[in-house]
Order: sequence, then C-alpha cells, then structure tokens
Amino acid sequence: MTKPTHDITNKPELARFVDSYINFLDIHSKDVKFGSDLLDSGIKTEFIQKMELFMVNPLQALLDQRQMVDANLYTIVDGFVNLFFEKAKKLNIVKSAFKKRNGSATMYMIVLNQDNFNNRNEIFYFLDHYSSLGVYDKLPIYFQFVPTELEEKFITEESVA
Amino acid sequence: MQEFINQAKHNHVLHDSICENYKESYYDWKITCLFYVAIHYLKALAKKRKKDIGTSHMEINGNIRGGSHNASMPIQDTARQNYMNLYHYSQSARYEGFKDLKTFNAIKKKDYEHSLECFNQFKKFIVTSQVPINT
Repeated sequence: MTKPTHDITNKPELARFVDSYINFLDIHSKDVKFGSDLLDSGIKTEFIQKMELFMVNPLQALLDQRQMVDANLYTIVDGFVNLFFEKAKKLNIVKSAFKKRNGSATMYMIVLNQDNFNNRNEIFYFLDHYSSLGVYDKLPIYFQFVPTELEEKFITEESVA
Repeated sequence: MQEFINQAKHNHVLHDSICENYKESYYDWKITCLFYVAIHYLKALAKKRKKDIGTSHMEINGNIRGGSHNASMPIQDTARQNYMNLYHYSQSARYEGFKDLKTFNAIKKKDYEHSLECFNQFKKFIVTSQVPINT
C-alpha cells in the first residue's frame, strides 16, 4: 500500500492506539481459546454463551450488543457534558445541574448563578457546538434553565454539577 | 419566497392569538410558534438569495453556520445564535419529561422571555436582509 505523502495523523498516538488494539486482540484470542478448551469439558464461559446466543437467537444477541453500544455512547456524552458543566461551575456561571434521561434523549436542568440572557447564551454556545457534531439527532440533549427558587424541585434527579 | 413569508405570518397569528387568550400559560407553544415563524423567515431569506439550505433542522442548522466549509448560506454569528437559541428552546419546549405543570409553566415563562428577545433580534436581521416580511 502506498503511504500518503502528507500524513496528518499523530503517529505516536495512533501507533499506541494500534498497539492497544493488537493487545486487545491477543487477550481476546486467548479468552476464546480458553472458552473453547472449557467447552470440551462441557463448561461455557460468558463469551461462549454470547456466541451460542448469536447462533440460537441472533436478533436478541444483536439487541444486547446495541444496548451495550448505547450504554457506551451515553457514557461518552455524559463525560463530555459533565466536563462542560464543571468548567461552567468554576467560571461561576452554573450554580447546579441535574440530569434526567428519557429514552435516547437526555434533559439537563441547569440553575444559573445569575439567570440572565448573557449567561444563557454562554450555555447555549456549548449546546450549539454539541449539535454541530453530527450526532444530535441520534443522541439528543436538551438544556432546561431552572430558576433558583425552583431548584429544590429537581434535587431528586441525578446531580451533574 | 412569498409562500414562506405567508407561512411565517400564519404562525405569527397563532402566536399572537395564544398570547392574547392565554397571557400566563402555554409558554411552550408560544416558544414553538416563534421558532416556526423564524424558520420560515430563514427559508424566505434562502429563497431570496437562491440558496438551498435543506429541509431538516440538522441541514438548516449546518447550512447557516459561519466558518463551515460546506454551509450553503452562512449568516451573521449573532443572527445564527438567536436562531439557534430559538431552535434549542423549541426543542426543550416539546420535551415530555415534566409532570408538574405549575413548575413547567414557571420555567417556560423565563424561556419565553429570552425566546422573544432572540426572535425580535432575528427578525431585525431578516428585515435588514431585505426580506419583505412587513408588507
């Protein structure tokens, strides 16, 4: 394969990522071999059970995979949004924030230290950035500003800031 | 272009009617109406400029973004921010996660105040862009 003349990737970082993947495949291969050996003795490891599910009920197995992928996606989105709220709290813009998930959508209830249009715009800049990432229709997030006097209505929700 | 202006007027009449009849409630629908007036203003502007900004919200939002390589009709940052604020308010206005209507109404009232400010600013941009929305 011809190498690109202008390689814009960060080679050391990419190389580390490739190495990690090789390690993962190595460990995974050993796990599968281990499961295969145990299967001869009539024992099914967790991975072998998943393979069996793919054979007997592929739809359920795929749905399980999708659930796992969704959970990973939500974790990444949560981390991204939480980081923003941490910064906004340090900047004294956000007083507190709470999260409520409803299906694939996540609503964040945000209490501002000073609820004015400028501070709301600051928060919306982030939401605008998120919506530009091309994942918004699949992983929507909504921001709802909450007046300070109504903060207590949301303290039972999961706190994120 | 006129068809979009007519649709914007149609939605504006509904907004004004809700405001007239329900002064202290239905802020979620007032917000939604304002957004749907704004989106038709934007479509009228696109028609005037002979630009294709797409049909879905995602397409439209991307095509008016300044600094974007593929944007078909980038608009002023402030105007876009006002439009996007309206978009985000209208999205959360239709979220069905609230059961306490009194609380819902109280928080939407403040959202509506900001939405109205954003709408008025966006409308000024449309007027200065020579879209004849007041004729």
